[in-house]
Amino acid sequence: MTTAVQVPRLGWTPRRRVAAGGAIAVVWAALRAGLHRDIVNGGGWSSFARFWTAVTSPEVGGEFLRLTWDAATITLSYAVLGSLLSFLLGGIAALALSELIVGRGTRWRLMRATLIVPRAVHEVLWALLLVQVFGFGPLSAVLAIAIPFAAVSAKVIAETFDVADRQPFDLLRATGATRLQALIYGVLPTVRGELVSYGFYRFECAIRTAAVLGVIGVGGLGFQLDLSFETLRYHEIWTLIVTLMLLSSGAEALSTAVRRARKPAIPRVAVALIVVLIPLSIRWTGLDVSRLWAARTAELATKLIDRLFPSRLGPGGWSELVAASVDTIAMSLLAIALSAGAGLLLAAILQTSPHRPLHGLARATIRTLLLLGRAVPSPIWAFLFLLVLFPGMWPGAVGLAAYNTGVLGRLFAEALEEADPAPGAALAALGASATSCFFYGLLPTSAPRLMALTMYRWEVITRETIVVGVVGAGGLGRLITEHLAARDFAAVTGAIGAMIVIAVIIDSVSAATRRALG
Amino acid sequence: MSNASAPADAAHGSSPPAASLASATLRYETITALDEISLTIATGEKVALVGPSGAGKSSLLHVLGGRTHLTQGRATILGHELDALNGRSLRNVRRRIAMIAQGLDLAPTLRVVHNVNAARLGQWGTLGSIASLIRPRDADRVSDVLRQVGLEDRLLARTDELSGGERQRIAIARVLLQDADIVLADEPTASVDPKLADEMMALLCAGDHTLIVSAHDPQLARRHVDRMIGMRNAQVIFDQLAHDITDHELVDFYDR
Repeated sequence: MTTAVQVPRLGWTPRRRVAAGGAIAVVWAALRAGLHRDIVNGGGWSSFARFWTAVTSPEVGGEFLRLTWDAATITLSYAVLGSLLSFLLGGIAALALSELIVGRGTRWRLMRATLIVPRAVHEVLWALLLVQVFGFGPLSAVLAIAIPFAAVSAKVIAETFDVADRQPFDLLRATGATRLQALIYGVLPTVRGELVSYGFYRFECAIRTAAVLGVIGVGGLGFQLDLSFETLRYHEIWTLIVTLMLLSSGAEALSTAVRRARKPAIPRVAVALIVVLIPLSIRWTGLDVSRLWAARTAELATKLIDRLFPSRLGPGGWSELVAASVDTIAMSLLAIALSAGAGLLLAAILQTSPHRPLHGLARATIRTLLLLGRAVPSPIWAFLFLLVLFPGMWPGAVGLAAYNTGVLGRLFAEALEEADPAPGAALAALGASATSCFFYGLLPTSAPRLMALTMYRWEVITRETIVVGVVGAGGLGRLITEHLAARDFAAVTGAIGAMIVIAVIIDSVSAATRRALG
Repeated sequence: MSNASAPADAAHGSSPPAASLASATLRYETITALDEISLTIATGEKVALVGPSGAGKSSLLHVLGGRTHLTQGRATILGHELDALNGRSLRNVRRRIAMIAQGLDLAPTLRVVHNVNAARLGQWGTLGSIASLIRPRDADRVSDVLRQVGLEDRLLARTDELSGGERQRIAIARVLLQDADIVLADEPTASVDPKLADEMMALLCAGDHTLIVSAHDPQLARRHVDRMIGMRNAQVIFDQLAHDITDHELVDFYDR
């Protein structure tokens, strides 16, 4: 029985507005990067193909393997020391950031505002500044990881404290304990597991960051990759890439094991492993902490700060700074659109393909590709795409996208795995195809989480545009590299200021989007 | 009351059964959910499964719907063993089976029109299904079934804005739209008021499809179905025509 019914129109829902806004922004970014002229460089295809075919014959000579081992120990050491230091500093800063300790007054707001700056400056930029004081050595690398990571950790740790059960804290306060004592005895024990697994997640990120830092010259696998790339020794590159993949997947496996552990033994073993790695890391890198308080350091640091401030415009003036800032936003939009699209496609195939042997092979291939994407630093990807794309924003955006597809694809796959399977299963039971089940069941069920991950990653990518800028891909990154080469430090600070402004803008766009989608 | 013979066998003679179980056993590690159950349900029959929670009612429905596989024994539905089918032939049988589950199985962030239209994913092609998410297909038919469950004004609401009872009625609307040969319903009226529950049971029972419904309220079920199967501890305790069961027998069954 069907009667004629007046069907209302849906009109502009928040979701449709966000989708339309996103589409317009990405099209604008593509036009800004240039679609009208040739962007593909036909001349580079043979080199590009030689890079990929070299995968079958990595360099396995004894001497090169020894060099690879040494580089791997250095990258691992930077990650261990950097993430550990960041966790200590972040933990201390978290005390000054937690409502439980400082309340919600002026001090709290001031602390939060202060910590935006170290977060908005990418690790590579920290490293570029730190090498002016400590040289291209381990101290620069470890501090470049530790400072921005500490700022992020402080925020996360403070939020963990603040959302924990308040009752034990209040109870101890009532018996006369100080705020700090009440936090240590009442809150810390309940959130300890959460903090440990967050610490290992940061360690996993630190491995990738340590590899990226190598590219700018502080040593390790990233540095060797850069050398081999510039001399076009593709066989060596693959040896280094496979090593990076092993190192990343090892760190990821450790972090996943800690996060999903049911027994306390697993986190304990993992913590013990890190403790053993501390002295080894110091030996492998030859880290000399005494340089921190050496007279020469103070002298160089004072000189650097004098030259950084007051900031001023570069030779190109405002128009150059504004153009570079707009380029940075456009590049980040292209990179997030490409990586979220590719990441979702690959994650969807991973989660919806049936459990048969042939599909198992396809899944293993996708997992390996995602691991490859995030194990290779984005500037190296940008170098590779520079072979087939003319210099400009595109190689940078595609390079960032290759790396971030690896990161987002994995996060998306986890989000799909953790989503409620019931709606999709019900559709399968009424005869829907696997693809329809995905679009009517799994995708809408996990959409809020996927959206949150995408927005979070967009913020990260915006900072990362600095990294590919260093290899000449345009935007503020290239501007900063040019100012550094000209030793025009006051202009560097100006560009960093522009970066912070962009970070704040994108942060509020992302927050507004999340609010609109409810 | 003991294991009475299935009354429907005689009534429907030799026509093929809509569903049947033969020595069906289902075990999860240490728990036995179904213990050697054999029964036959004729085409068009309206059957209620009653019994305390944990008796095996949901497991039985899940087995018939192909969402759980038996440890031992055979389950046949619409003349097919679902375990033996795959791909297109499995989808062809499945789209003739409708299920309403306790969890309701609706995607919370989708609009009501899409969750109801999902009933027809078994008939639609994949591209048509995706296109419908942008511009809903056959929205007038969706409106029509929503009117039957009293929610015609919620066509474009987001599903997570609805109350639990409303969501349950959306799930029933989906079943009505699917127009399946067999409907498997797991406590479809668990969180709606008695008057509405009565109307919804009437809706589920209207038509010539086969209905197997697990019911938390045996009195309500008895008013609507042809036959009642009482389960306890993974076994069938009684299997009788609904109008033959007395209040006394029901009270006796639940008190034991």
